[in-house]
Amino acid sequence: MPSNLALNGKNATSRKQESNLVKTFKRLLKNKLAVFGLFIIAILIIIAVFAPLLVSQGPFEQNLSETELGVGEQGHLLGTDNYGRDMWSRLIYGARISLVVGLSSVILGLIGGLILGLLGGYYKKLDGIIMRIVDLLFAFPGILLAMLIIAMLGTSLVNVIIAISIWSIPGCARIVRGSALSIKKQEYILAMKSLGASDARIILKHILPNCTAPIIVFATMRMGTAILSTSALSFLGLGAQPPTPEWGAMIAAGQDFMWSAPHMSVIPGVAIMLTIFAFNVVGDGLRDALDPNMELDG
Amino acid sequence: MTDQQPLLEVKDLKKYFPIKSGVLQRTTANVKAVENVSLQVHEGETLGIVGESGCGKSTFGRSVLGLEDITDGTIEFRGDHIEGLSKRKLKEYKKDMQMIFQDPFASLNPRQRIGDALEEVFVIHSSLSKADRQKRVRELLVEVGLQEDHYNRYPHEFSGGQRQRIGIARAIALNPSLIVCDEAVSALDVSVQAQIIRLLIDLQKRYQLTYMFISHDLGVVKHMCDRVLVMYLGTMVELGSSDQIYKNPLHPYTRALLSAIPRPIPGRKKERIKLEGDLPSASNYPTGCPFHTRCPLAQEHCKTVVPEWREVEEGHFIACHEV
Repeated sequence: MPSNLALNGKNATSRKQESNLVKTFKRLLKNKLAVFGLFIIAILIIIAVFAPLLVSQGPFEQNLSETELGVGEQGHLLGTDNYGRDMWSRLIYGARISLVVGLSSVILGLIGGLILGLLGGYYKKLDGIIMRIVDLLFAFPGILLAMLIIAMLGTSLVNVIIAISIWSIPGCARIVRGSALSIKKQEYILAMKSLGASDARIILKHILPNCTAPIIVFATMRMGTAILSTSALSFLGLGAQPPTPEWGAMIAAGQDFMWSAPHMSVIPGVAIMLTIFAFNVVGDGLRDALDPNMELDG
Repeated sequence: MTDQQPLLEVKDLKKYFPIKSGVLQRTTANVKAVENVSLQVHEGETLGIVGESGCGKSTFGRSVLGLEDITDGTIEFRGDHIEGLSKRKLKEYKKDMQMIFQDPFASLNPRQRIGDALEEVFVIHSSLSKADRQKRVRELLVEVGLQEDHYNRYPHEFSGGQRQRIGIARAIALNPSLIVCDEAVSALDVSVQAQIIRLLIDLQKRYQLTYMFISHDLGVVKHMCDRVLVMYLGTMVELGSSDQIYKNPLHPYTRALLSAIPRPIPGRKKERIKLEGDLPSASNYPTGCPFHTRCPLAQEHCKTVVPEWREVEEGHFIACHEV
């Protein structure tokens, strides 16, 4: 690879800064679809962070003289809904909710999955028990499991986060366990044991850093799924409650106005689609970029 | 042989790997990886352990370092029993016993800078400050023939020989007395092998190291070792000084093994002893002498009676009925 040759030519100090992360990122940038995905995600993050600066009307502000305006009518970029609320404003506040819910449920799911996966992968005795629990969680169809949890906890966005993170645990646990099992058999783990390193040190400093690649891919893909599930649950009335500008809830609200104001459902639908598409192509791109066969690191 | 206390004394070491089958995972048979190995290793010597693949030499080396739970037997290090010790108690001895691994590509964590990898040894075993640790690591790097500025590099930036030097640096970091070299040079090119062997010999002289040198390369063992143990199917076949084993091999297996060394001088063909049949499976262990299935000298009683371990001359031991 030409960029690698260039890297080797540099002196030792700049080599220090060219970590694996940078190399992976450079490879990722060669994948056009992934770059497009990254671009969408970047825009999403920007509009979510700067939402208040980008709107002229708050997401809850009603104007009953301007209901069901179409796209671009009377200064409303994306029109208004049946209460005269600005769709653009609701859409970008919805991006906030989607990203926060997606990110926090993925992080919580990862924490749970990492703990279970690492313990199961490293300690043979715990493996059987942990993997049966994981199988149990896997046996439920995901959305049913989430609905069950919400039925127990009550409907709210926080409970959606909890439900989706629990649903993310088994997938993550399996991936981590698989990596941990194969890394555990590597000679450098034996070398650490012969040096007298503690189990905690081996797991955290040697196994965990070596299974980051599949975890990053999983987390990225999972972000898309988590956002979709949040919307699905809200659409069903189990997540965000009106008037929260959540995309799924917005689609549900637009259902009754499908003929008079189709943009009320179509716009949040397109937003969901683009977001999930972006996370999936970035996840795919990362999978290729992190492929260990593309780099000689043993 | 000196009369002083041996550095390491192993008595009747056995290591079986159970074969589990059925729904209940009951043990149905054992793979006898190491069967009744007893030996002493003295301070400052290099003991070679040779044998073909699967004869239990690596398992033996790992068992000695406590990396395998042994099935039976005792291991004494400087007179202290170390078999079956808890991890915490064993940690004290691990400072004194280190290992160099076969595969220089697999024995270093690919995501850890080598400076950090070496520093970790001191984090585990000493209370040195960060600055002192880094100073020691830089000294170690120079000591094994690398450069100080290699500190911040990742393993994939090194060649096999350089990586093996890092492995050696890690093993000598804590000034151990015993180092088990498990096929330490087998994965390297011949020219690099020579450099690494020279490094090992230099370090031995400088620090009075004791090596247990596990290898299938008889030429390297002849060059490196003071005494040689020949193993076959987990058992000891012949033990003696390097001279005794190479000039006067007594056991038919040792003879066959030595006759298989390729000779670089053309025209001086030596009679090659060819063994019949394959290595028996260690799970289906032969009765009597383990070598009787392939031995050219085998008699009826070899099939039933396990040969005694006897001394045929000063320091030269053998397990055979017929010689």
